[in-house]
Amino acid sequence: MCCLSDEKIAFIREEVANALSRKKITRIRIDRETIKELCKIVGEKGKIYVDDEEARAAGFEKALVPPSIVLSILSPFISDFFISRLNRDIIREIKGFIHAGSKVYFFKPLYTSNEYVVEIMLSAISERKGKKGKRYIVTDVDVSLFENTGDIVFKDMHRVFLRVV
Amino acid sequence: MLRYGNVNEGDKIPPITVVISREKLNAYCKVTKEIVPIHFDEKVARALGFKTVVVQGVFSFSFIPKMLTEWIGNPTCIKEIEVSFIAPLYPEENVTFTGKILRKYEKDGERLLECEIWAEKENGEKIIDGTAVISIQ
Repeated sequence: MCCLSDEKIAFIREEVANALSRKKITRIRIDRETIKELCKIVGEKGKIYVDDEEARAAGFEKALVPPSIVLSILSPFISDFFISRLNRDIIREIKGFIHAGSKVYFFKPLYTSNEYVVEIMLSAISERKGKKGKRYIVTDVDVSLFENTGDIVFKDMHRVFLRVV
Repeated sequence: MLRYGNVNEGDKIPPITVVISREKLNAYCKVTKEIVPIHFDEKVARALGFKTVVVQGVFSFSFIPKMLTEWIGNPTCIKEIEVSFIAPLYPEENVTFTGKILRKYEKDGERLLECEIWAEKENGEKIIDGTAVISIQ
């Protein structure tokens, strides 16, 4: 196992905090093909997730995005937030990115093929010592999904451990 | 659809058991454009101390909303879910998702259930622990 000094870990933490400090705002349109493929993988069989008519008959605007796959759809945005912001030297020091937990809120139904605004921001950063001397930088990242009107639809408070030793 | 009057504190949430095959994991990695190597690169996963590639937390998480919406019979019943991923899940392992009602209550005219939720492997090892708040009619 490699050894990093406390100073080096503090330096990495500072670099991570600086790199992730700016809020990232992007847009997403959840396409039907992705929904179909993820529904198949997860085993979601409800027709309201793939058929607009079925969804309307159940009282919805159109086909819904199943709650089971919302995090999966946002996952590439979260990975990209880390990878595109952190410089190569820092990424080299990180042995692994570990999704340690999430707190998610569903405020409104999500609809297939609607456009949403995705906001990602670092909300907290700390350090943790794990079993067998492993060391982590703990990042709490808030991922929020808004309608074009500004109404919030979904929020994930996503905790990622960056293993540095 | 399940009704508020038909559930009680302590009731168990009907479990769902799944096995995520390597094929499904590969398909999931492709659809979600996975870039973290421990989920698809055996060598990297082993070098980090894992038995093999690890199923993504977001993938295993999927079965919690699925379990809850199927149980209640309403795709928009979930208010919030909080989970901790406490142990890795590997492909081809048998894992059961379940939970129980901790509290039924009304708030601002809405009928709610607070539930404990978890997922465990066949050997009893918990991989996910958490809570959920569900709206019910």
